[in-house]
Amino acid sequence: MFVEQLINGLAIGTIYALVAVGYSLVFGILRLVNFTHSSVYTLGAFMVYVGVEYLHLNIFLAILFSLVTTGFAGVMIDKMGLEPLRKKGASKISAMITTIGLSYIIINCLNIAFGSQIIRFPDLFNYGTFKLLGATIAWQQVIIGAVALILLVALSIFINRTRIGLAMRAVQQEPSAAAINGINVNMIISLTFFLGAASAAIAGTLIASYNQYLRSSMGDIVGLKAFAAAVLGGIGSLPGSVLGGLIIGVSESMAVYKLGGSYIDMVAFSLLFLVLLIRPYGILGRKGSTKV
Amino acid sequence: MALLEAKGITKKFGGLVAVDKLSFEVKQGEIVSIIGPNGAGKTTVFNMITGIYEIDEGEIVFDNKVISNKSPIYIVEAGISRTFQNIRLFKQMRVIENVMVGTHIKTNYNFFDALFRTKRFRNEERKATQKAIDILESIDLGDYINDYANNLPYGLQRRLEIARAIATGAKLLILDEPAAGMNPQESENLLNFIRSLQAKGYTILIIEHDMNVVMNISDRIYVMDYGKRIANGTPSEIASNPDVIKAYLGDASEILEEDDAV
Amino acid sequence: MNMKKENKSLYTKAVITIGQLWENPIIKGIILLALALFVYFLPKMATLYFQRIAIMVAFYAIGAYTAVLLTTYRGTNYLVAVILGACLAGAFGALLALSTMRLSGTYVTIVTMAFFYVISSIILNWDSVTKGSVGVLNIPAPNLFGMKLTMKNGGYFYLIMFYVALTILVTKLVINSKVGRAIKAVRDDELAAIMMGINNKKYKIIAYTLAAFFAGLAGTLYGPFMGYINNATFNYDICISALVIVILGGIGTVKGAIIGAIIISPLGELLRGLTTFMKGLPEWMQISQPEQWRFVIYGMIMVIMMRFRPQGILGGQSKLPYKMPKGVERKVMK
Repeated sequence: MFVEQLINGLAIGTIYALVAVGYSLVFGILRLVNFTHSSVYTLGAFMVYVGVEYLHLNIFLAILFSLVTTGFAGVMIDKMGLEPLRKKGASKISAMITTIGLSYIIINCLNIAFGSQIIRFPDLFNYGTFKLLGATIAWQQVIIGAVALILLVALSIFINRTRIGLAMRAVQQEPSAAAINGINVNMIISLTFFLGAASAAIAGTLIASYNQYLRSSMGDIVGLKAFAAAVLGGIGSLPGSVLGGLIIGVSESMAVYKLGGSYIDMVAFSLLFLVLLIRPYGILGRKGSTKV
Repeated sequence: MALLEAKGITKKFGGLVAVDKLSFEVKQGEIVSIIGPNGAGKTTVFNMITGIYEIDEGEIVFDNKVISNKSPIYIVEAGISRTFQNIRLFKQMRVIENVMVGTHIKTNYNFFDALFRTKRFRNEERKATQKAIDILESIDLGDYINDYANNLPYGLQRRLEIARAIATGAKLLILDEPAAGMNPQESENLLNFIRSLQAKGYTILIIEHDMNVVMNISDRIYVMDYGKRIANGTPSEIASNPDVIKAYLGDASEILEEDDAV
Repeated sequence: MNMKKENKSLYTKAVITIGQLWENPIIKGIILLALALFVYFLPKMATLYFQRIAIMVAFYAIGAYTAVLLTTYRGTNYLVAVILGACLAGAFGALLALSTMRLSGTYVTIVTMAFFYVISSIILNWDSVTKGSVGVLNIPAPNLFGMKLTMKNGGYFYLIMFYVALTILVTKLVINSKVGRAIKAVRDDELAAIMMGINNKKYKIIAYTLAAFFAGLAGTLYGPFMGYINNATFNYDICISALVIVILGGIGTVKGAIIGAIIISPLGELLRGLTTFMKGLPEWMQISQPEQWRFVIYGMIMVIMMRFRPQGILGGQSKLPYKMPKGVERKVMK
């Protein structure tokens, strides 16, 4: 039981991490909690469903279709919702409320189009189970964890090893200095939104396939927990998000193992609360200084 | 008699000694300036006096009371009030409300008086409003009482910050770079304004970069470098002190010569 | 004699008809208004309006459950139950203020969010007391000095009106005093406020307690109105409605909150009516799912307001002169 729960927790944890990275990327660049992120996650899963069910694509093409459309939706959120506010020099709170509003529009449009009921979603990785240390483990969990992990590694290589990644980090550190050095800041922000949205889309698809269903409210809880994971690890830090996601995933499944399922949603926040009391800026976060 | 006296105060940040056994005093009715290069520890001294920072060694005495390592609120109540290097007004409040926040500690009623609009509330509120208006009018801000603080021009915002400090009933005003960002005309007005405050009996301690302001207004000057006091005296003594010129003034000595000529 | 009686029944009828037409939107609106008003008092440390409202809903739920459980199962006197409910919510407000004191910015957000989740979790899981997802049924109508106040006899309506008037009055009394100024000052610039001798901790606690108290009071109204409450009663729907009211009307103004509530609260009924009306039209023109459309409209209101008028319809800086107390003189006249 323990090993099974551990594997399960790690699998779910990598998914949280994948979503958390999206929060972290956008926060790193805009200092903004992007509330559309959980709806983008849902949108991503629905786009795969649309690809399979309405466009009759095969599953891999459908995932590709979802990546492109969802990523594009992420870019549009910034271009249409947030960039005008930046140009106007509006406050952070305005931007944040705009993202709340946009997320309401996205989720409820999905609701209007597809209803709020559960929709069956194909199980993509149903390869049976295998035995490990006496525990029965589904291949599905391993594959989900592995896919998420590969994406995380790819993302971190992209950010740390490529020229565009370098530009992204430059914009994170000092947008105006980056702009002076010829970096197209708005392009980088769009790219960040694209990456965040695409990784959320993958995460949404993986979870939908794991649960074998979709629904428009699927992003609510996952979004909050991933946000908690990002803050737990230190928001703005990519390794922090991964660590936070894993910690929350594992401790949740341990809580299920020890306490039963009904307290699962409290675990993430209680944990966060405790960590923040000891390290107010998250595990790998750095303190932002304010001058008196 | 010294109104404010710092006796060997020290502040360390980790390994860095920001202020090192500094002593100085401010007498009743004086204008005293603290000058020094950037990073000399001037603002740290202000933060130590006003209770934002704790003091590692030494003692600060104000009006015969030890105020070092007391809470900012205690220190305000003792009669010290300050302004900030980068203006920190209550931007979304009116000019008069800003000054009335200054009267907070002198306004003597509690939450329930406010809730039931007791006689005490009405009396105290009238007194506070009257005081705020009197202060604003006495420093030529009477026309702006209804405006919001963030809509005032820069020079007037500085002045409002001082008005707010006065409203606390302070005897000692601590001004952190009051002339920062002002044009020559504005800083000339500020000079006259600070002199008028002195004439009204306020004691004033200033940190300032603008040498014109410092040399013209101060009764005495303390010079700091690397957290230590390197000189003190009247403006003319400071201007001719070779240590000061070497450590701090450098290029500015030309300006001083001009001043001396005047 | 007969004539008089007839008149009275006519009047009662009119009240009932108007009541039925506007019953839901008005009551919901008023409850939301009471909620929205006190969002004002939460200092800047709860930077996000959204989180402010989430915790307000938590307080609202605390008030609602306390009052409803006491009246339904213990037969406690209505007034006593209401006061206890509001006070308990207020106490939680003070507790939350204390626990977030050391934190700043995003981290306060997280703690407040966690608070919301803990409260909803408790409501759902503490079956033996809160009855979980089944909820509390058959909530009795308020009984004031032997008089039953129901929607039918209009009494409940007046009761709610009284609560709202009380909330507005207290808001006004507190804002226009040294307490209100101190709260605003701490919200605008905490360090500068401390340097004016303001006890920032004390005023944060006062602000949170007040906000929680009145949210709790608003909560006590909901149960008897609906006749039942369960965990689903206190969800994000209420958060979002209250948030939209504040955004539309303008934060920090009583008038703004009232205007926002007047516009927002009938929206649900309006859309439902529209749905029925459109039944006769061709299929592609019909609106199904009025609730979902309501949320889409909420979202649009948020986006549009933030883009074009972030301070809200009536928010921002007042053009009226400052209201002086009597007996204050200006020596220099213009």
